[in-house]
Amino acid sequence: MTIETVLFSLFSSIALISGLMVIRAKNPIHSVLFLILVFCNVSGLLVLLGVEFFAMIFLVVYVGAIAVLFLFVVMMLNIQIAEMQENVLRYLPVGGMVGLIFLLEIFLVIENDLIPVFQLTDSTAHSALNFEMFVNKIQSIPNIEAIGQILYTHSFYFFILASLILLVAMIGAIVLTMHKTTLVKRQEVFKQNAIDFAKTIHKIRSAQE
Amino acid sequence: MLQFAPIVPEAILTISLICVCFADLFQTKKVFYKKGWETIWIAALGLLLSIIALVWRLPQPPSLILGGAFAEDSLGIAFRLIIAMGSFICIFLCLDYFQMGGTPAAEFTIFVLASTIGGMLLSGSNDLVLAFVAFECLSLNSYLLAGYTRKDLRSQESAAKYLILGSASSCALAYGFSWLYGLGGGSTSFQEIGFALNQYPSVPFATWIAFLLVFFGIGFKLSAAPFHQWAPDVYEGSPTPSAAFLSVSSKAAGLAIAARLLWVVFSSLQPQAGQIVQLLAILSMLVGNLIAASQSHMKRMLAYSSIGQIGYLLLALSLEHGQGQSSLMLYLGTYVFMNMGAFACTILLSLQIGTDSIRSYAGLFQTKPWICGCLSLCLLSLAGLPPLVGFFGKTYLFWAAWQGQLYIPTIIGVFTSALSLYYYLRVIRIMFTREAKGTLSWQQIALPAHKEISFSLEKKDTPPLLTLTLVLCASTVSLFSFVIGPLTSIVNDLSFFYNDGF
Repeated sequence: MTIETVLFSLFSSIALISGLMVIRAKNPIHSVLFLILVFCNVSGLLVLLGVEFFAMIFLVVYVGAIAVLFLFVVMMLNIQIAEMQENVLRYLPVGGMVGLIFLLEIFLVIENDLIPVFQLTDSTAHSALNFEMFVNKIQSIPNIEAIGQILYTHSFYFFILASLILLVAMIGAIVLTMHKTTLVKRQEVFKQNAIDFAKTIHKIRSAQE
Repeated sequence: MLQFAPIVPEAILTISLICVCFADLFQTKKVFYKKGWETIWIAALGLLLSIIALVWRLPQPPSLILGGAFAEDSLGIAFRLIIAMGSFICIFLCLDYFQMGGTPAAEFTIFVLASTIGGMLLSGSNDLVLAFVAFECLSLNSYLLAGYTRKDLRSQESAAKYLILGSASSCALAYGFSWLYGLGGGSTSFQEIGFALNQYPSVPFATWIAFLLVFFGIGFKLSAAPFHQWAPDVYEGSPTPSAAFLSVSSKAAGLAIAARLLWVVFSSLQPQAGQIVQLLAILSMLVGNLIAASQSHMKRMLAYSSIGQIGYLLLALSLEHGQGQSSLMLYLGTYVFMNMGAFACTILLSLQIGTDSIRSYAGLFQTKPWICGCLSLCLLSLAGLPPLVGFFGKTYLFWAAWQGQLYIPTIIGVFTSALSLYYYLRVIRIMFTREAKGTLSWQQIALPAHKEISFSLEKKDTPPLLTLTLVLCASTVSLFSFVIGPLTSIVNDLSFFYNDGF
């Protein structure tokens, strides 16, 4: 067994187990921490694949930003530790079916012999799937350079469209949270800071009289 | 060599979106209910210019730009025209509605413009990546539109529902696209995938998985029958202009991508793929029209009626390429005006009587004869009664389906459109015959805190922009039938150029 195989089994098994723990953990904070563990293992897998830039981005974006944001939200909202035990068996039949179908789909494409039900009679079925020879596509340029070459030349319009989506998402977040109409009483910080202690007391007293 | 002329309409819309952002920033008026005129006019001007640009591009020879990602062909342009027209009408619907609720209208126009850009790019997309990014651009803005009046709890609820269900359907779509990417041999272009699927027909099972996943995602967007559950709740809760947009422009974009995928990518699965679409169509026609009859809320009724209408459109879609598209485009083009007119009347009436309940429309004909007349015209056109434009659209569609030997679906379609007459006529009967009960005017219902606004709207009892839109829609619905012949001949020449050759 080469070192890559050992590392692959290690990363993937830890990722699978902690992925299971994400949905099984009772405490939502544990759940988020397990999610972070999944992300770390997956970025290890990405390094094994040789896409080190994506591994880095994965860590920075998913662990550094999104998972920590989840953690903040969970801690701020003060969610009670819910009893999630009773729901497991209820959703098992449907969820199990869907999971089984997805598993079969993957086996069908990768290893057709493993599923006797959908045996493709055509003996050339394997070669018929027109697989891309990804080996031929290997070029000796670094990850970032390759991404840059595609992102800023062939598909820069997708990039621009994605930036438009981000702009609208930003406006949407502002619209959904900002209450700026005349009907809302807003805090006036300068006025508050400028209030004189003695005057305020005086005002209330005079109002009471 | 890049040629940007085909995406000039989208570029105009993007520029007008940025102009709307800035116009809103430099707004100086403090009184918020007077705000919004400038942004509305900028957005309307942008959409109008974009419509003109599209009409200018219509006779051009088809071409592929952006590295093969965007196809400009006459059918795609027709879909983009319909989306732009729907948004153009929708922009005019929103101002008075939001002024009444005390919500600024500027951001609403931004969302409408951005989702129009997404929808228009979706109709022309010829590439998995562009299709998905444009689809998300459309969906994200639709969620924002549904939750726009955030003070209203129902709007928030509908936005949350739509967001969660919509994300699930987007997941299915992305998963289906990844299957297509694998089956197409690592290519993202629709032609190459379609070619690969035709070339290697020995793996139809995997192709079927991709087809079902993709049509699950798109069927949700179209609110076709097994995936229609979200539509009534979202339409009822979201602000009425958003519901109008969701029922017209967003559905037109969904139909465009469905047509392109069905006719270009999945052509190897025909005719079975067409039969699945027929199944969706039959279910939508039955479910939409049967449940609409029992609704008491106008917006819910229109939601179910739009589910039924999407059934007719899917029936045209299920025909083979070359047979269905002209009837599809004709019906879709008329559907824009009928449905927008119905929603405009709903907004006007809800502004004046303060509720969307059908029962409270009783006896309205005596006080508001013009609005009730226009609403009746639009509803009768949706039902498909002879002198109106909806009749010609429907007749043409059923005729095409009959020619395509879809006998049972056509019979079900005719039967359900007869059923639909019942619930459209019910609204009209309530408006025209019942005695008016002592209904409150909306000024009495509006919160005391909104006194300021109610005072401002009291003076203009009929909001000018809404009335203008209503007149436009109603006159189109009743007068388009005179030009149905020339329209048909224009529509007959439309096609997806890039389908040919395989």
